[in-house]
Amino acid sequence: MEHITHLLSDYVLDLLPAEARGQVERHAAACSRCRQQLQRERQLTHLVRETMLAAGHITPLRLVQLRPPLRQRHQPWFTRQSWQKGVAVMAVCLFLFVASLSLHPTYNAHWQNGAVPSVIAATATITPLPATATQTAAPSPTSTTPPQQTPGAAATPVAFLWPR
Amino acid sequence: MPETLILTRTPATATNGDEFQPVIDRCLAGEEAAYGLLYQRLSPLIYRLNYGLLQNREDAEEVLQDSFEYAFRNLHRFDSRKAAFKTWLYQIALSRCRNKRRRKWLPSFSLSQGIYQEIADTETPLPDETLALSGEQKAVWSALKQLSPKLRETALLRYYEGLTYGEIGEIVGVPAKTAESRMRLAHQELKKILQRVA
Ligand SMILES: [Zn+2]
Repeated sequence: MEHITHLLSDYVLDLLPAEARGQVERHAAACSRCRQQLQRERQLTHLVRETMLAAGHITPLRLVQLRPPLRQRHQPWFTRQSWQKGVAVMAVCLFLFVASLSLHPTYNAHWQNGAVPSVIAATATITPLPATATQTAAPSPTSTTPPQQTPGAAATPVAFLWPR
Repeated sequence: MPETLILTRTPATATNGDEFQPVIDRCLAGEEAAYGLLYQRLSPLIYRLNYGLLQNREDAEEVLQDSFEYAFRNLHRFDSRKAAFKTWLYQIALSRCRNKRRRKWLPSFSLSQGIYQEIADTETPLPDETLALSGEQKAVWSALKQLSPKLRETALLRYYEGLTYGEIGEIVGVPAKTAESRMRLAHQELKKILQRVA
């Protein structure tokens, strides 16, 4: 009797045409060796499924906690939890701040006199830039530093420019 | 944008009577409870797919949130003549899982140790969340992790979801025949890995 071992995987994966399926079923009914092999193939499929169900279990409570808010479906991307986004925002802030210093003659003079207090002030002092740039420079959600006003510069706290 | 591609691509299997269409209609009519119903029915499936693909709970949760937020915001763009709602949602989640994996992989690759990092990942001890699994299940979980991302995607959609190869092809963006050969490969790989362990 010619065994059909080479067809068994395709059989359990439903990859065989009807004729070959029939061939496998007829042979397995008569051959215990191929029947056992077929059983092992089925077990693997079953095991993977069971493993996925067990490993990927999540409680209904957790699912509820993760549900996106419906009333604020247009939630701004920067309010979602991710520290990388926070770091990216900080980097943009820093870049805009440095760029504004090098472009603005008054700031340049201040900088050379050491008048700008700290880099952290960037979160609050980017008024000379256009409105689009100011929106991009939202402070990190993880930042706890309160916005500081630079003396002499007509600074606008960025928070007021956020769409609510 | 992968989302744009997803929404405009004509899938292989078009379904007219989507089981979720009545609920979707209620969502679009502004009924908030209907959104809750969609989420309740489909979020466990999407979470499990994410977790199977990323094998990291935090990442899987973040992708789940992102996927549903995108789906709810773009519900008006879903066309049941082009794809089943479940397929559409799987596509959204899968593209996010791919992005997440890419973002995690790139930094390690730029340090000229990308390949080794991947190998090391498969050898690190399993996290606590797999403690509840039986010995056999742990072996399968670890074997799934060793599959290439392409094979893992196909294997999870087939073994776990029992989707047809046409549907899998639609979701992962390949012809049904390619999905079939990927599944064949994934099955052989898993058998080989598990035989080595046994
Ligand atoms: Zn035989």
